[in-house]
Amino acid sequence: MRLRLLKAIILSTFLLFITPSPVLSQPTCLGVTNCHLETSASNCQADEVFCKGGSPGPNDPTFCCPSGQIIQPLTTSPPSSQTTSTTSTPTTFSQPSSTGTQNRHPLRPKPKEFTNWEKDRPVANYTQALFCAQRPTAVQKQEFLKTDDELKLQITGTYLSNFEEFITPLLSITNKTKDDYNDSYEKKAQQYLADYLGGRAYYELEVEPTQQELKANPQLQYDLFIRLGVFRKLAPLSLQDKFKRAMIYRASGIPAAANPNNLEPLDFFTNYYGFEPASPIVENYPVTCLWGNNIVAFTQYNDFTNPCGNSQNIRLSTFDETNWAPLPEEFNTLKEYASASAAWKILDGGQIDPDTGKIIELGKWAKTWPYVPMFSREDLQGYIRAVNPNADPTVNPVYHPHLARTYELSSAISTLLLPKNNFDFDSDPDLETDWNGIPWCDINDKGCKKWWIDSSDTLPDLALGPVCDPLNTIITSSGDSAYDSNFTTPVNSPTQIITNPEYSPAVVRKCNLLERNDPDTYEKECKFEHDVRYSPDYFVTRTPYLNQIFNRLVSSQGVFNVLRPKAYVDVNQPANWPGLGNPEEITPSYRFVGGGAETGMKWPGGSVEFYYKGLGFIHCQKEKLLAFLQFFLWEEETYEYLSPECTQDSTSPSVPGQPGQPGKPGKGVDKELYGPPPNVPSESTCTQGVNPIGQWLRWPYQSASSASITSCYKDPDRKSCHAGIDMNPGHKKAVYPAASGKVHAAFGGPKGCEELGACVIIDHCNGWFTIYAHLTEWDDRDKLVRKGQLVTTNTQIGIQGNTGKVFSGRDCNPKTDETCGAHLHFGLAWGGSIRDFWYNTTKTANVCTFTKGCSCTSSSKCTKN
Amino acid sequence: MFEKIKPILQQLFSSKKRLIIILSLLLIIAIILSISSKPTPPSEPSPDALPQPSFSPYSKTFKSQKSTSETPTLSIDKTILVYQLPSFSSLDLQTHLNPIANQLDFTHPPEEKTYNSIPHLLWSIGSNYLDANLTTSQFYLRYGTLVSPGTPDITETTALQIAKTFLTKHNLINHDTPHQTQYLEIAGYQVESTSNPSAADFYEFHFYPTLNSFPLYSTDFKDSPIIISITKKGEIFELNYNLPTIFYSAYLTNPNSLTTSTHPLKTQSQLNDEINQGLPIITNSELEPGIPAAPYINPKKITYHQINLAYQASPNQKLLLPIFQLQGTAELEDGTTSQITAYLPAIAQ
Repeated sequence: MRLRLLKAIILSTFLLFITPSPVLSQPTCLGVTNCHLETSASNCQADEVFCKGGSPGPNDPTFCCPSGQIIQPLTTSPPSSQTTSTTSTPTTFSQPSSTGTQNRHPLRPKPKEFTNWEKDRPVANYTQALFCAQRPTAVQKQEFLKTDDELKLQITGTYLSNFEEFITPLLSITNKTKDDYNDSYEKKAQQYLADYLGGRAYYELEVEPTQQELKANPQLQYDLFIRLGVFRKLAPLSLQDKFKRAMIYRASGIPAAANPNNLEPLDFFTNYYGFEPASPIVENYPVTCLWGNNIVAFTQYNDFTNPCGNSQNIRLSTFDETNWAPLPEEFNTLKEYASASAAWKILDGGQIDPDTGKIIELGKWAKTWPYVPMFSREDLQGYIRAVNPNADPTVNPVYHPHLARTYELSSAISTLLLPKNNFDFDSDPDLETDWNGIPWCDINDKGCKKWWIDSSDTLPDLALGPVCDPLNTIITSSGDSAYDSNFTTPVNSPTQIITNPEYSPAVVRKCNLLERNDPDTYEKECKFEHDVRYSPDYFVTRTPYLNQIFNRLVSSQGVFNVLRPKAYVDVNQPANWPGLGNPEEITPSYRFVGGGAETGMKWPGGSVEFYYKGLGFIHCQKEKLLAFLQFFLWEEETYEYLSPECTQDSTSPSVPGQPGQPGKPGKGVDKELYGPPPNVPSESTCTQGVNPIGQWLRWPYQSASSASITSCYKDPDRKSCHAGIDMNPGHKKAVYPAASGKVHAAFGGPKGCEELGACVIIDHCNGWFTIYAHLTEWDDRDKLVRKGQLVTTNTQIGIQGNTGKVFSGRDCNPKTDETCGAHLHFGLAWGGSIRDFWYNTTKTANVCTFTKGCSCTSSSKCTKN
Repeated sequence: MFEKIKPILQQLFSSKKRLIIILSLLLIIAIILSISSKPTPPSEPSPDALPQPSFSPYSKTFKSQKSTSETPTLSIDKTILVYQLPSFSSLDLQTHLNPIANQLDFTHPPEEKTYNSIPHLLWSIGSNYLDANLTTSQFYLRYGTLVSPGTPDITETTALQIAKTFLTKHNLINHDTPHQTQYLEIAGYQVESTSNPSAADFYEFHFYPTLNSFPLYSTDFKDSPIIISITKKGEIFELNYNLPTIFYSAYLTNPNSLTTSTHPLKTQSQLNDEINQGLPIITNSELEPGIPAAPYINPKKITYHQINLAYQASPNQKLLLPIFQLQGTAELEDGTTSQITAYLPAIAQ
């Protein structure tokens, strides 16, 4: 089904003022379509006019717009002492049919790219820069007098958003194979969040893949997340137990369910979330039921068919302190906790093998405990409002737009947690490659098929959903429409004053006469109507609960404070004993490497099989990515997770590497196995330096450009994976570090760095290292830098050369020409041994991605070392 | 204390002349101390206390008590020769490599260079160079000529013949030294391997020489001892000679000139004990790249199915020491297996 995203019906009143005109030196783009954002008039085409966006203040963006639509202001205007005003008249406006749909958003004419305006701002401000989603263009036909020399334009009215046709992808529950496919939309919508985070284990009838199946097909792990919930599959079970307790509290009387208006917050002892949920109470959901000793898994989230009979239903409130799972912090020692867990497992009907002492049959409560949900549909609650300087601050509570947000959140988590075999995200954080065509896909791009998530698409490349709809695209989905809801948002455009193109002294004289002598002709000849457009309004929505999750997702504390960098983890604390309560289940196992956290699934008695990346590590690219998702947030909110060093063009000193940020992009090959060269420690030995990921790297020359690049990272023309970029702006050019740091190694011999020839490796003091290879060899007496030396981007470290396994080129005579094959190999890796710079999906990263102004196309298919 | 010697110092430094004399004496003492503190050359090997071969840095020990007792038996002599590497001077190495340099038109004499505190000899012309390690006598040649477009391609057989002719001419291998071939193609300024011989721009021959019929490994096990690349036009492109060339050339041409000593090998029983103690050092395994190492570092069981006696060139130790190379299978906790190669010193201590 193809439906329009948003039907904006504008009911407004307007005021028409005639006031003295200020001197305008630059036209505004107000209401003009088909603009593109530019910072300089020189970028405009011949038929375009350089104009301002119309937002008051110093950050008013500028555009090039079609000149035909611009009402040119006067460059000078005499002050007028005459002021005439009319009172406002309520008028109903609708979008004129001539304009059809909303136009391409002037603030994001190139959806795939950051706009210059955004680039000039730190990531922390992206929430203000991302205008997307439901951005209506208000169009009012207003009446003006030809006798006014200036026209004052303002739109005041109310947006009415109709979400009856708002399309929301519901991935799992629009799968026809699912039992709930034919459920009502409302039911699907409400269970959406719970599905994704809490998992559907309580009614998921499909058998989980076996260890062998997962190993053979890592894709299944992704599906497992989708089906069973990311949190359910990744969080320590003891923490899941806490969340379940919180749900029980919320469902059973804190505050009393009988008094739902008593919205007192959960107290410290009963709220295990670490933040306030969207609602302190949830419905007393049925969890499961027992048929004899057997659990009957509900086939729907809120199954009231009572397959076991009413009396056998186990609802949330059935659980209490007498039968819920113990928590580690309730005990003094691990042994006590383990004993209590064992006792709990046989509570009410469990059995122990007298010979082995092992539990052979779980009791009723342990058996039903896995079906207790951790998240509720009530947590979907959020708010929406329009944003512009004059907007009414009223917020509107809504639910449904957040379904998309939920989807985005969930798919973001899933994407970040994809098995590394499936997703080369961290080691190749080239979002241009990995994300191009997905979140900002241009509708004119015929290859773009991802404007909205097709719910039938269950492949990992579905990535994030469309985080906004800059073209007001008609989107497709599986046919589910959002459940009924309209909401209104007051909007008041800023006042704009333009020169009246109809004004002239002759018209004034003529109309003055007509007004007195011939009112009918006066009405016809001295008044005119014109469309007034207003675009800068946009909606932001807020889902506090999801925001909290986001906050935890990208903060150095890790997801839900679970996957924390080691520095934050005190393993002596009971709260940090993950998974001990249910050793029979597949449990997550955690690993902390270099400030990054990883996890994998651990089978009983087995070892970790799958590792997921980025859990305690969100590098700047991810932060930018996630910043894209923040457009539903209040602009004034501050997000601690946005790392200060993650600015687009920051030239300020960056923050030294901190535990957890940035961390290692995933599990790497065991260093000891492959090992560093002698006397070259791989770990950072310095504490002060720049963050090469958080700060743009500079070109390793005083001047260079992408034109100097001769081979890209993962060069598509190569059969094996190129682990850096090759550059040749000129033989014998001086080479400088791309960022400050400490000289980790300086091997001057022609084979000092094996095939890479003479090389220098710079430790950037946060786990990341850069290499500069094939340098001209140097004798110890002539060395430019020594091991351990602190260097800046102004410290020359070498001279471009052609040492190592370099082919001379077909047209160069190496016997007579010392320049044959000269180039610089410039690489970025996690770890400082030479072999760390060999291509490896978990070791090396595309240095071009982090080099300001660098552009080089990589191969997405490269897998070979 | 200082108060007591203060008058003496004042007297000593009371004139410029005396001060100069004292400073000169101090300088002489410092020079003497400096000379005496220079590193001494490695001591002659003692039959009673042979150094252990170096397996680092590309090593990983399986800390396990789970090695199998099913060690294959080793039917070899009870003793073996340990070779002492001959000492040589810069001039010796220059003389040794000059025929190669002359053949390849390195018209200028070599320069003495020091790379990371290691002395080298470097012949260079244009973009070509021959770099020899003055400590180990290992060397590296990177070479090329401008080939006319009409030059016909050669076959792999011809390329091998060119490589062997060059290496044997300069006493770098025996003509019957076994080899393996890899194929390389040009990618930009560099070359990369290809599995398609017809696409090859280079033939890369890996030679595996022997010493007393035992395999002779280079310093670290990751590199083949001798690697030579021949272009499809018949030129030498690269030669990695990872063996001590002074020694091996002498072994090939005049083995009686080498100094050797005989040492007892570990017995089968000692070998079994060490294997069961998990002492073999794993230097190579067929772990899938990118797979987490965590599950593999503690295998449930290792079964060695083959043991070979070999030599490892340890130039820095001035000795060629025998080692046991063990090949086997590691059974991992997750039920999978991995083929591994491990090493143990072969001389009984």
